[in-house]
Amino acid sequence: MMPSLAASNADDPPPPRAFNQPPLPSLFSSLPIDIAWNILVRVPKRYRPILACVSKKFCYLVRSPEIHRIRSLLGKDSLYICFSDQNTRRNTLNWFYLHRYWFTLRRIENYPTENQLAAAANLVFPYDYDPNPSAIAIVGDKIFVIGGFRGDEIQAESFDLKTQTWEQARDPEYKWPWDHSKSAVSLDKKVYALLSHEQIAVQYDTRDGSCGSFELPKGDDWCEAGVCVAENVLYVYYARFGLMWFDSELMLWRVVNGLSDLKKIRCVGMAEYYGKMAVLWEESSGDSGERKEIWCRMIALGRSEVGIHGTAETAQLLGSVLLGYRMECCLSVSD
Amino acid sequence: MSKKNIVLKSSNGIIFEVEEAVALQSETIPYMIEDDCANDTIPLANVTGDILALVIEYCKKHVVVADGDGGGSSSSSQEDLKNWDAQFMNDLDQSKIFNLLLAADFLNIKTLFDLTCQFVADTMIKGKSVEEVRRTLNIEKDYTSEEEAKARQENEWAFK
Repeated sequence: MMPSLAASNADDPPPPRAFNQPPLPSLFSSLPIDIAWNILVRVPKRYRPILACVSKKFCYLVRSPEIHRIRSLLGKDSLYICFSDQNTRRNTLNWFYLHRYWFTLRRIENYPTENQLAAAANLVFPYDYDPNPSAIAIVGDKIFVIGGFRGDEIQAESFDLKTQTWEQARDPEYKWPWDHSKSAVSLDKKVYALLSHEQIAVQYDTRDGSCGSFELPKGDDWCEAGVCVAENVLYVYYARFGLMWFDSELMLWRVVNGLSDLKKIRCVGMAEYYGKMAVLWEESSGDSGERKEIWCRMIALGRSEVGIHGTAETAQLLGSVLLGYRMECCLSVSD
Repeated sequence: MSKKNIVLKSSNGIIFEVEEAVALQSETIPYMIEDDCANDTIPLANVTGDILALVIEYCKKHVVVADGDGGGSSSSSQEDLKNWDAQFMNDLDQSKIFNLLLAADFLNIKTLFDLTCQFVADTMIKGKSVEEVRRTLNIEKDYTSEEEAKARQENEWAFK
C-alpha cells in the first residue's frame, strides 16, 4: 500500500514546502541579461551593495563592467570640479574673498570615452568669505561643507542637489582644523578629510556629527595629494608613492600596482567616474602664459587576492582655465 | 490625405488595425513591413494579444503629442503624459509589466522600454532590503548562509 501523504502523524515533520508548492518561476530571472542590466542601471548606485547580496546572479550583474557602459550611455555620473579664482584674493581688500567656479565633466557626444569640461550651475557657498572651503564631499544627494565658522562655532552645512538649497548639518563633535584639509571624500555616510600638517585623516559622520581619525602614509608631498573613494575603497595619491589604497583588513596603506608612469604627474583631483577613477592634473599651456591646461587619465581598478591593480588609459586634455584658478575639489555625483 | 492603416496580428491570432504613425513608434515594424512586402498583416509571434493591446494603448497616447500641431508640445502636455504613464504602469500586475518590457524590447519602442525599466527599478528594487527584493522579484537565494554572511560583511556599510 502506498503511504498516504495526507495521513500524517502529528509527530512527523511537515513535508517540505517545496514538495507541495513548487517555487514559481521568477519573471525577473528569466529576462534576457541585457534587459536585466537595463533595469539595474536605473537603480541608484548607492543600492548596489544591497543588490550584490540578493543572489549570485545579482552580484554578477551589478559588478559587471557592462553596468558602467550602460550607465555611461544614460549619462548617470557627473564630476563636479570647483576652481577658485586666486586673482580675486589679490584684487580685493578682503583677502578672504574668493570667486569659485564650478565645472562638470561631460562626455563628448558620439565619442563615449572622450570628456571635456563644461561650466556648471553656479553653486554659491553660504559663507563665500571663508578663507577656505574646508572639507567638501558628497554624501547621497547632498554636498557637505564642514569647517565653516559661524561666530566661534565650527559649522557643517549641506547643499541638496535635488532642491538646490542649503541647510545646516549636525555640528562636528570635535574641532579638528577642518580648514587645513586639502581634500575630502565620503564613505559610508561619513566625510573623510586629509589634514596636511597633522598627517591624519579625520572623519565626520553626517548622521550625528560624531568624529574620529586615523593615520595617513607618511609623505613629503602633501600639497599635491589627492583623495578619492571608489567601490568602497579609500585611495590617496602622492607624487612620491603614486596611488595608494587603504586595506581595511590589514589596516595599512598599500600601493596600487601597475601604475608606475603615473608618478610623473602631480595630481590635483580624483573622483570615481563610471567605475573608473578619474585623476586630474594641471599643466602649463604651450601657447600663452594666461591659461593652464587641465588633463585627465581614467584608471580602471581591479581587485584580486594580492591587492589592487590599476590600468591607466591615455591622457586626455579636458580644457583650460585661467592661470589664477586653483582646483578646490573634484566631486562625483551619481543618479 | 488618407491615413494608412497597419494590421498587426498577435501570437494568439488577435488582429489589431492601427494608424501607421501609431505603429511606427516601433522601430522593428518598418523592417517587418519591408520584409513582408507590405502585405496586409504583420504577424508578431512574440507578443500576445493582451500585451499588444497595452503596447498600442501606449503608442496611441504618445503619438498625439509627437505629431501635435506645430511639432512642439507644451509643458503641460508633457506633464499630462508623465502622469498618464505613471497611471498606465500602476494599473499593471508584475506579469504584465515584464511581458510589456519584453514586447517593448522586441518591438524596439525606446520610450516604453525606458519607462518600464525605470518602473521596475523604482517600484520593485530601489529602497528595498535584500529580503524584500528577493520576495518582490521571487528570486531564490542561491547563497549558502556562509556566503551570504560574507557578502553582507563586504557590503556592511550599505545596511546601516
